[in-house]
Amino acid sequence: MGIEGLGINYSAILPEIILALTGVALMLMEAFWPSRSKRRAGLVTLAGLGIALMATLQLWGAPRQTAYAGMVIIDDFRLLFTAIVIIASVLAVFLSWNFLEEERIQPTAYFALLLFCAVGMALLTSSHDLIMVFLGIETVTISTYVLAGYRRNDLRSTEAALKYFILGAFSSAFLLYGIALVYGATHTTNLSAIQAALNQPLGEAERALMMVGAAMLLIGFGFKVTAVPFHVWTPDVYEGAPTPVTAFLSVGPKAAGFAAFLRVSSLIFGADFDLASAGRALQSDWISALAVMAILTMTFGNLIAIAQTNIKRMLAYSSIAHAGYVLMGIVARDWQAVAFYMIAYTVMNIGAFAVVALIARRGDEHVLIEDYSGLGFRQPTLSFPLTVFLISLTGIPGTAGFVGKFWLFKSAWEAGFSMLVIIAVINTVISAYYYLYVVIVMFFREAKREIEPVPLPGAFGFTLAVTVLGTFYLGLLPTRVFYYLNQAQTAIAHLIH
Amino acid sequence: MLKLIVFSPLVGAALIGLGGRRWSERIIGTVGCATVGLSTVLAFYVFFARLLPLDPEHRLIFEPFYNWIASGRLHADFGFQLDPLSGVYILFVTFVGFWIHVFGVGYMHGDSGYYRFFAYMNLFMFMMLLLVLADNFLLMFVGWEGVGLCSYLLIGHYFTRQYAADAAKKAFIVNRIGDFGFALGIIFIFATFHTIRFAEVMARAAHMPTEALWTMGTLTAICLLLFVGATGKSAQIPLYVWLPDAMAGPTPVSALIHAATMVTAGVYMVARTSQMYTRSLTALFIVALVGGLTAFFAATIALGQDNIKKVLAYSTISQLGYMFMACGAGAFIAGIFHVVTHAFFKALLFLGAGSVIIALHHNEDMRQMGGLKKYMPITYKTFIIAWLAIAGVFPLAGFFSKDEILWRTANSAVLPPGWGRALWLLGVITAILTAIYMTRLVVMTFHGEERFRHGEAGSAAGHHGGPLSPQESPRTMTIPLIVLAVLSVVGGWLGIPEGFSAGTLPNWIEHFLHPAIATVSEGQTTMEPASQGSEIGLALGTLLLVVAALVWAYRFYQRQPLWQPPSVLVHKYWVDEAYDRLFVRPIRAISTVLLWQVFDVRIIDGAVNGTAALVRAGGRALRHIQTGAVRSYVVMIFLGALIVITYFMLAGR
Amino acid sequence: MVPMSWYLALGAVLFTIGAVSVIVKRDILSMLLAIELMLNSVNLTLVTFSSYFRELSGQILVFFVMVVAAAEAGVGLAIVVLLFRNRQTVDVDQASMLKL
Repeated sequence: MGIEGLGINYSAILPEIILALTGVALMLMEAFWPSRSKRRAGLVTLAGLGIALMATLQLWGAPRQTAYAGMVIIDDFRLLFTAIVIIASVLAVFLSWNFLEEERIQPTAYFALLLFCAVGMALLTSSHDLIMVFLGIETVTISTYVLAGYRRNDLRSTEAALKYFILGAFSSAFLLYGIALVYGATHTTNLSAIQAALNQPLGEAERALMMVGAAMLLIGFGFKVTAVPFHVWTPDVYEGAPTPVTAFLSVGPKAAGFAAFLRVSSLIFGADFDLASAGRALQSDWISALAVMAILTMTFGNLIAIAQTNIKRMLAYSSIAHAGYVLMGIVARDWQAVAFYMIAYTVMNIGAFAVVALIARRGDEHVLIEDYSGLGFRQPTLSFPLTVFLISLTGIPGTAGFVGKFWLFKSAWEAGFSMLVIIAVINTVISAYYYLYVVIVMFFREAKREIEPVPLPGAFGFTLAVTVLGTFYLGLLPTRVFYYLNQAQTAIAHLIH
Repeated sequence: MLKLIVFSPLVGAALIGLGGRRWSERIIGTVGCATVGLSTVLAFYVFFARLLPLDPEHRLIFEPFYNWIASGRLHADFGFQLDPLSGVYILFVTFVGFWIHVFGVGYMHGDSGYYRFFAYMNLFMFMMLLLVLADNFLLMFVGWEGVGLCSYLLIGHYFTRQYAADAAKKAFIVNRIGDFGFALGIIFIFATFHTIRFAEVMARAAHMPTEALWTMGTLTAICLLLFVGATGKSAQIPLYVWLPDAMAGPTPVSALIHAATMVTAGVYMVARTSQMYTRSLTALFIVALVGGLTAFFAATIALGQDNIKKVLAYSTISQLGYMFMACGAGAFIAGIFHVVTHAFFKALLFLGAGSVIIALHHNEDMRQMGGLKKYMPITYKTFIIAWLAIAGVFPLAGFFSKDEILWRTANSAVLPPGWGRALWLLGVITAILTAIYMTRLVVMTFHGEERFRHGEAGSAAGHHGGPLSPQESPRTMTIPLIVLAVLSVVGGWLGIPEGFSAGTLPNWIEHFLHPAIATVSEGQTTMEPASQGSEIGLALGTLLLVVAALVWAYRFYQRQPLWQPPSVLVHKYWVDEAYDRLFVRPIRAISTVLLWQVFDVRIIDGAVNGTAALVRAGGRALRHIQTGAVRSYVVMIFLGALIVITYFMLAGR
Repeated sequence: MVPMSWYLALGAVLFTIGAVSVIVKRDILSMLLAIELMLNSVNLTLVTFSSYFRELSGQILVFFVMVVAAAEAGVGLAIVVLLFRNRQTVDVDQASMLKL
C-alpha cells in the first residue's frame, strides 16, 4: 500500500485540525505569555470554533467520500452533527464566561479542554470505523472528566468527576470489548466492511461473537447517551459538575454520542440485508433491544424527574427522558428526525441551563427548585425565557420541542412502532407535570427567603436571546432547517442501503 | 383578511405585555378591546361580505400564510380556512369575546394584574381564532395547546392564592391527558391519509366505508383518539374534573374560556371531522353515550353546589354533554347550534354572576347572598333572561337548540336501536334538572331575605368589617349584559325547526352549515315529513315539563333556600378524591419510593424528607449501608450489561 | 499451535475478573487497576484476532488503547489526588455527598 492508499485528505478533517490547533495554541500562549485574562483565551477559543464551523459548512454539499483508509467519512450527516457540536461548544463558551471569573479559574486550560472535547466530538461524528469511534469517545470523555471536576475546592464537583471517571472508564471497557468481538466476527473494524461481512451467512462461532459484540456495543453506547439502565452516572454528574459544564455535557457530547450511535446502528444493524444473511438475523434483536431501552429510558427518566427538588438533577432526569425519545429515532432509522431533535434540544436545554447557572450563582448555591419561588414577576428577564424553554421541553406546539417530538413520533409510527409512540406520548404527558412545577413555583409561589436579584451579564443575555429566538424559530419556521435536512437525505440514503 | 382577524389580538397581547406595566388601566383596556374589536369587525365583514355571497356548496376560502413544516410527505402550512363552520365560530367567538373584554375593563378595575389579565386574554383570543381558522390538524393543535396554556395562565391569575395555582396545574395536566389522545390521533391520521389538511383528509375519508358498530377500524380508532382530546378540552367524563376548579380564575375568564369558547373546542373538532365520525358507528355511539351521561351527571352535581360559579361550571359541563350527545346522534349541526346559543346565555350567566360577585366584594357563596334583586336591577333582569334561556323556555335561545338536540337524538338512525330513545329520556331528565338547579341559583342569589349582611361579618371573603350595600355595576359591565341578554333571546331564531312553521321559515343555520358538515342523513336518516308533527309534540311535552319544574323549584326554594342537598351531590360523588387515590398518589408513590430505591439511590422529595432527616441523624455509619456511592452504580451498570448480553446470547440461538 | 479459543477464553476470564474487581474493591486505586485489567484483557483479545487473521487493524487498535489507557490513568490519578486533598481518603464509599 503506497502513501496514496492511506487516503490522506486534510480537508476532510479540517474542522478537527483547526480545533486541535487552537487548543494547542492556547496552551502554548499560556506558557509563553501568561495572562489571567479570560477575555483573551475566550476570544481565541471563539475564533477557533468559528473558523472550524466555517470549515464545516464550506464542506456542505461535497460528494460523499471517505478518507484515511475509510476511517473518516464526509457526508452531510457528519457535517450537520459537527456543526451542532461546534455550536453547542460556542454556547458553552458564553455560559462559562462568568463562571470562570466568579470562581477565579485559570481560563486557558478550561477553554483548551473544551476545544479538545470538541475535537473528540467532531471525530465521533465523522468516524466510519470502530477504532475512530473509540478514539472519539475517549477524547470526549477524558476531557469532560476534567471539566466535571473543575470546581476544585468543591466536594460535589470532585465527586462528580470521580464517579464520572470510574463509570466512564468501566463502560468504555465494555465498548472496547464489543469492538474487539465484532472485529473477531467480521475481520474488520471498518463500518462498511462490517456491513458487507454481515450481508453473508456467518459461521457458528462468528455468530456468537457478533451477538455478544453487539450487546457490548449497545452497553457502551447506552452509557454515552444516558440510556437506562446505563444512565446511573447522569444525575450525580449533572448535579455535581459546574452548571456551565453540565449544560455542555447534556447537549454536546450527547449529540456526538448519538451521531456515532446512529451511524453504527444504521450501518451495522439497520442496513437492508439479504434474507439469509447474518445481519438480517441480528437486526430484529438489535432493534427490539433498542426499542425496550427507549421505553425504559423515557419512562424512568420522566417518572423519577417528578420527585426531584434540585433543578439540576431534575434537568438531568429530563435529559435522560429526552434521550429515550431520541432512541426512538434510531429505532425508526430516521436520522433527520434525530438530527432535528438534537438541534432543538441543544437550543432549549442550553437556554434552560443558562438560566439555572445564573440563578445558581457563585459556587452553585441556589439550585433547589424552591429557590425559584417568586422569581416570576420579580425577574421577568429570567423567568420568561426559562418558561419558554420548559414549555418547549414539554413539547407544546409553536416551540422547537414540539416540532422535534412530532417528527420523531411520526417516523416511529410510520416505521411500525405504534406501541412505542403511544408510550412516548404518555410520557410527554407525565413530563408536563414536572416542567410545569417549576413554572408554578416561579409565578405562583411567594419567595421563601429573600434572594437578591441576579444581574444579567452580557454573555448570558446574548445566550438567552439566541436560544429563545432559536426555540421559536425552530418551532414556527422550521422549513429552512427541514430543507437542508431533506437535501442531505440523498447523501445518507445512499449510505444506509 | 383572515390573517388580520387572527393576528390582531396577538398584536394587542404583545403591546400590553411589553408596555402594559407602565400604562394606565384606561390605555390597557382600550388597546385590549380595540384589537379584539378589530377582529370582530373584520370577522363580520369577511363572513357577510365574502363568505355569504358565495355559492352555498362552495363556501370555502383558503388563505395560506406561510409554509410551516415541510418534510417528505408531511406538509403543514400556517394557513387559514374559512368555511361555514369556522365562519359561525369566528362570529360568536369574536363577538362574545369582545363584550367580555369590555366587561373585564370594569370587573378587573383596581386589580394589580390588570395588564397581565388583558395580555393573556388577548393571547387567548389569538389562540382560539387560530384553532378555529386553521386549515390543518397540526396548526389546530397549536391553537388547541395555546388556548390551554392561556387558560392555565388565567386560572392562576390570583397567584397568591394556593388553590388558584393548584387549579391551574390541574387544568393543565388533565388537558395534557386529553391532548395525548389528540396528538396520537393526528399521527394516526397522517399515517392513514398521508396528509393533515382538513380538506384533503375529509375528502379521502368520504370514500371510506362505514365501520359497523363494535368493529375497530382505522376511522374508529382515529375518532376515539380525537374524542379523548375532546373530553379533555370540553370537560366530559372522565376528564371533566378540571373545569369546576378552573373557576378560581377571574369571572370574565370563566365566561370567555370556560363557558363560551375554549371548552366548545372539542365540539368544534368533532364537527370538523364529522366525515370521519359519520363513518364510525362505534365512535358515534360512544360520543353520544359519554355526552348524555355527562349531561345528566353534571346536572345532578350542580344541584348540590353552593358556590355560584361552581354551579355554573357544572351547568357548562352538562350543556357540553348535550352538544356531544347531539354529535354522537349524528346531528352535528344541532350540536353547533347549541354551542352558539349556549355561548350567549352562559356568558351572560357568568357575567351576571361576576357582577354579583363584585357587588359583594368577591364573595361567591350563594348562602351569603339573597335579595339582591332590588339592588341590582339590570343584572337581575338580564339574569332572568339567561335563566329562562338555559332552562329552554319558548321562545328564548335555549329552547330551540335544546329541542333540536333532543328531537334529533330521539330519532337518530346511527345509534343502536332503542338507545336514541334512552338518551332522549336522559336529555329530558337533564332538562328538568337544569330548570331546578338554575331556579335554585336565581332564588338563592336574587330573591328571599338578604343573607349577606350578617354573612359578611366573619365570612371567608370579609375584608370589610361592616355591613355592605351592594350596588349595581358600572356601565362597562352592564352594557355587555344587556347585549348578551338580547342575543340570548333572539339567538335561537337562527334555527327554528321547519316543522314549527310548516316550512315557511327556513332553518337558516341548518341550511348554512349543511355543506360544511357531513350529514348522516344520506340514506341513513332522512327527515320524514310525518315526523314534523311529532317534533312539535315532543317540544311541547318537554316545555311543559320544564315549566312545571321551574314553578315547583321556584316555590320550593322560596320557602327553604338553604335546603341541604344530599351529601353525595355536595361532594360531587367523591370523584376528585377517587382520582387522587387511583392515579395521583400511586404515580407520586412510584416516583418517590419505588423508582428511587431501585433506580436512583438517593433521598429526594419532600415526601421523604422525614427519612432524609433520619438518615442524616444516623450519620456516617448509616451512610455505608446506603448504596449511594460509586460502587452501587458500577453494580447497576454491570447487572444491566449482564441482562443485555444474556438477551443477545439467547436471541442468537 | 495453541487454538485461538484458549486466548479468547483467557481474555474473557480476565475481563470478568477485572469487572468484578471494580465492583468489590473499595479504594479507587484498586478500581483503577481493575479497569486497567479489563482494558488489557481486551488488548489480548484484539492481538489474538489480529495475529490469527493476519490482519493489522486489531494491533493498531491496541496501540491506541494503550495511549488512551495512559491518558485515562493520568486523569484518574489527578482526580484521586484532588479527592484526597478534599477528603483525606481514597475510599470511594466516602464519596457520597451527592447522595445525601
